[in-house]
Amino acid sequence: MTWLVLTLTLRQLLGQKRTLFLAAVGLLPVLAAIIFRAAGDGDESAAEFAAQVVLNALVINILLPLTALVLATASLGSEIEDGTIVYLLSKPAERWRIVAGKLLAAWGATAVLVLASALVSGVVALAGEGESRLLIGFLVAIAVGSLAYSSVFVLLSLVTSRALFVGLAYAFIWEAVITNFAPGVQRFSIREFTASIAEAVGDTNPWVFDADLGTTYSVILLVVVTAVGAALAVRRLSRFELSEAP
Amino acid sequence: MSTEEGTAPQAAVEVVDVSRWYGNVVAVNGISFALEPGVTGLLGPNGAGKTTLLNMIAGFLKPSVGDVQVLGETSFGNPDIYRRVALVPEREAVYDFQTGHQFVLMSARMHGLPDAQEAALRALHMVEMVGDADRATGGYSKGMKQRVKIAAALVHDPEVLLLDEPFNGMDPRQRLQMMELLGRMAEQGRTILFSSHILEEVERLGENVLVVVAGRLAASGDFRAIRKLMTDRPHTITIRSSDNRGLARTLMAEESVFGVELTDGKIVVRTNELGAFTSMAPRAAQEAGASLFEVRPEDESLESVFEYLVTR
Repeated sequence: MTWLVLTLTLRQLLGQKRTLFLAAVGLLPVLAAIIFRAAGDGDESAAEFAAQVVLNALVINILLPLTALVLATASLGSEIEDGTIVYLLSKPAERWRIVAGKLLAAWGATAVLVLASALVSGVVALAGEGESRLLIGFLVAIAVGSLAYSSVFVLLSLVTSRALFVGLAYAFIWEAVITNFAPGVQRFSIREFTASIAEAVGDTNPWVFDADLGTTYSVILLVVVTAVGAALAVRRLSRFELSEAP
Repeated sequence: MSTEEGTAPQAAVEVVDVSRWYGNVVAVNGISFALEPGVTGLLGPNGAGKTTLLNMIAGFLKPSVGDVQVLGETSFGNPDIYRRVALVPEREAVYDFQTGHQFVLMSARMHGLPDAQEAALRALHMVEMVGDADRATGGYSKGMKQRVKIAAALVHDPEVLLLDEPFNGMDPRQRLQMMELLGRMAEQGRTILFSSHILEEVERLGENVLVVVAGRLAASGDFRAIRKLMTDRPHTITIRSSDNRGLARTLMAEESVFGVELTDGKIVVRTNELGAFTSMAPRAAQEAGASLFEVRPEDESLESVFEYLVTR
């Protein structure tokens, strides 16, 4: 069942305009890297620019949550909206298998899109700098972070029909703005967890890239967020009601 | 399952005092019935609660109060029942990028059938969709979508089949063919419940009928009895003729008539035997020496029929 749901969902995602839109957004970091290289030497080193601007500010802070949100809501939320979810639910399969298929599809599609953008923009920004370790750190962080985001957003699309709106508010108001002003709440931000993985795996110099949270804490929280999100999604789908409210 | 008295057979579907509300809107209100194998029509106007009722039986809605048992098991939150139960939803959407064959085959695979290909072909054959099975469902007509949806539901040979407005969008030939198919499946001992807001659909197919109006079970049982109830209710008929006064006098003497009113240019007649009245009217006109210009039943809408059943 999981495999059938996974392949079905990937096909659903592939044929959608929003996937094309996300691919276009994914070109922005690449564009930024090209412009940086073309402008020649500024005050920043290539490593600093690649880590702070391209990979952190553009990819992790914008592209990753946006892609995860759009693809997660497209993979499950749109089936609920169209009513096709009934064709999955009317099968004698444990509900976790359906959630697993949806989550793996959303995660896989998100990771492929965001990793491709990070890889190309990172290589362009860092070409000839011998900073491959830094880039690998970000790639690993994106792979892990996109799973946590997907898990939360798949749950969100099961809980509310306004998942896109709520998800945007979470990613671009809570994570992007509020965590900057209220010290302490950044301890509850998937983007900060992701950044700290990038720092740890990439083994970056503090002046090149410095995450705010500790690695152990971030790893634990990423695992917890992913697991709790998926478990709640399974629970929610097991009690799912087709909405026919008049 | 056996009852304490012994061997009474379990009804395939048992609905006991079920209500369902959304916020403070009551969609289904204290409905009870039991279904045996055979075809049963769930008749009622749009918005009467038919879909809510079907979704509760199919396990996609939890009753606010009451109990729904399908084949002896609670259906809500119990995916195992889908080995023996199927629902064809009213909503048209399928996966537009799949062909009809892919859609039905996916259903067979999701059911974990040992020979999914074979089962899919058999189901497509049953709904006469083999010829169009390799086209994308996005290009299907409403009736074709309806048929592949039914094929996807039949793929595992369910004992209980629930269909929400299955004849929507079908042309008369397809309707007839689908009715025959459902009839055949019922003869094989399956329990089939389909909803409709069209009297004639139910009349042709369902020997048993449940009539739902405004969330309540207004009538249930043999269709002919209910049909008689519907036709024997008081009818209002307006007549225009060459001699209204003369005709009114003759009509007043008829047994099937219990009220005659003369208003501007027409006669308003009340009868409680529509059949008797319509066969008698031409004779009465002849007797009175009047020619009939118009005979028009006033309240033939299905809604008014339902209204009557509820207030009766």
